[in-house]
Amino acid sequence: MTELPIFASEGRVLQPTRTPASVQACYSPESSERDLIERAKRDPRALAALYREHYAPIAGYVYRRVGDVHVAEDLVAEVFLTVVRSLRRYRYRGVPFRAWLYRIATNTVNRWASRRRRRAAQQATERAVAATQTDGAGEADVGFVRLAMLSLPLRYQSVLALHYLEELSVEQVASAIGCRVGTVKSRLSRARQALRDRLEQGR
Amino acid sequence: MHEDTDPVSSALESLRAKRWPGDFYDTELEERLMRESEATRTSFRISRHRTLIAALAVILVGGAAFAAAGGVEAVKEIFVNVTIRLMGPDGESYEVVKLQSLDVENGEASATLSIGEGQMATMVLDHVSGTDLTDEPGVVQGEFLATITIDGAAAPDGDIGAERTIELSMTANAGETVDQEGVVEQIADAEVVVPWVDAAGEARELYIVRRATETEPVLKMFSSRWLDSGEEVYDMVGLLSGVITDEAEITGVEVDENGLATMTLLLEDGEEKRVAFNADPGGAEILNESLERTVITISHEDE
Repeated sequence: MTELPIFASEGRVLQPTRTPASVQACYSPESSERDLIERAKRDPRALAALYREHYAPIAGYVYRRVGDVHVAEDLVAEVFLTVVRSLRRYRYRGVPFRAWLYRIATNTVNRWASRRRRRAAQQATERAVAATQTDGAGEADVGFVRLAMLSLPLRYQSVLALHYLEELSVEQVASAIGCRVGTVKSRLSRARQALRDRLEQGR
Repeated sequence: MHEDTDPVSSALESLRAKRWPGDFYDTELEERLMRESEATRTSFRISRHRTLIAALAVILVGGAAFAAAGGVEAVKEIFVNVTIRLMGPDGESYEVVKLQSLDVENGEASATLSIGEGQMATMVLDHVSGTDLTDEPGVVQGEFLATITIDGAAAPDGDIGAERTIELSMTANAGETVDQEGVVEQIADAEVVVPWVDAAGEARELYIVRRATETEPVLKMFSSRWLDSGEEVYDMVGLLSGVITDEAEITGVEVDENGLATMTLLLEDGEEKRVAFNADPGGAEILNESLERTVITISHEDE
């Protein structure tokens, strides 16, 4: 039996003063994740606790991929609405709940990104040309890097973002996107090369 | 080159350094989620009492049956994947893909299949052009008119039939020995592998293989199972072609203990397509039990 990956805690502590007593009572450190998920299917307070625990990390992931706070907020809303609608069918199988959230978030961002790939490639090129005309060769700015990444095939964007931006292990990435560890490794290798090619086009 | 001076690593680090500038959580979104949660619970209760009427938006693709290895006799049948589109009350749609055998007589293929809730649909394929349908082994490619009629309760809008002309590609596996080695070679390069445990407690795997050449279906789905001898063998449980291209991304696959596999695809145009199929070729009827929120509507689709 394959050992299941464990997601490291983000280390983010809920501010007690910002958490209503009803939610605090529901979310206790002793509650297992599985128990909380099952309660969240029928208890709004448990659902609120689940949402508050995972909102910021998922929002961070989406934001790092799309680069715009307002776009990220809309997409994160879409993610959690999907979670709420699908929660009844969710079955805890020993894999952290966060893996499922990352999968939904990845799908949501990929749908958004798929409509922008070509435009992102054009903008990356324009930006690179502009940069060489102003200050010559320099370090790639964040905007250009993000555009370069958004111009990659979606399966490359996903593994790069989950492994390098979210710092998930290869096993955790495989768990999040539902494929083999070997596939993730080979995809990461190809993705890095593809990103390198994009970045070098701007030099 | 050391990774820490690698421009790719530097570029990724610059993105990683971007922290979420917003709050720990969004209270407006939280309220919206609570409302949505309540609405979801309410609509589920309602949908259980609806009369389920069949809708078939049929997309037929080629299918082939592989019998197990170890001297088992080859199968002489023609299979076709039938896609049934089911709509949930919240607008979610599922396409259930069934590997369905067809009876071929006088160039006409027909099948009757259960589509859930006691509904039976009869599908008849009439040859229009291309290779004719016969029970001889070989690749069949051509255009066929699919006529589907549904028995059971009347549809709300009174129309329960769908007629369309579609392109169909089928492979007949008749009189051929199964090549398990060939399957093993293919699944070694599987793009997605999903382990699952069936209702009998057996550990199994679902493999989704992307094609290596353009003459093959875009995606092939294989499933493992165990013989009494302890040998692991593989069956093909589905093929997808024609409606998707090589650009389609597999964004998620899940299999439940009943063998219901749900695969989510992101198409080139940004549309998301969800396909459900039976990962367990020997499994029982799944339509009734696994797709809980099935509101089946009539769909007439033009391609």
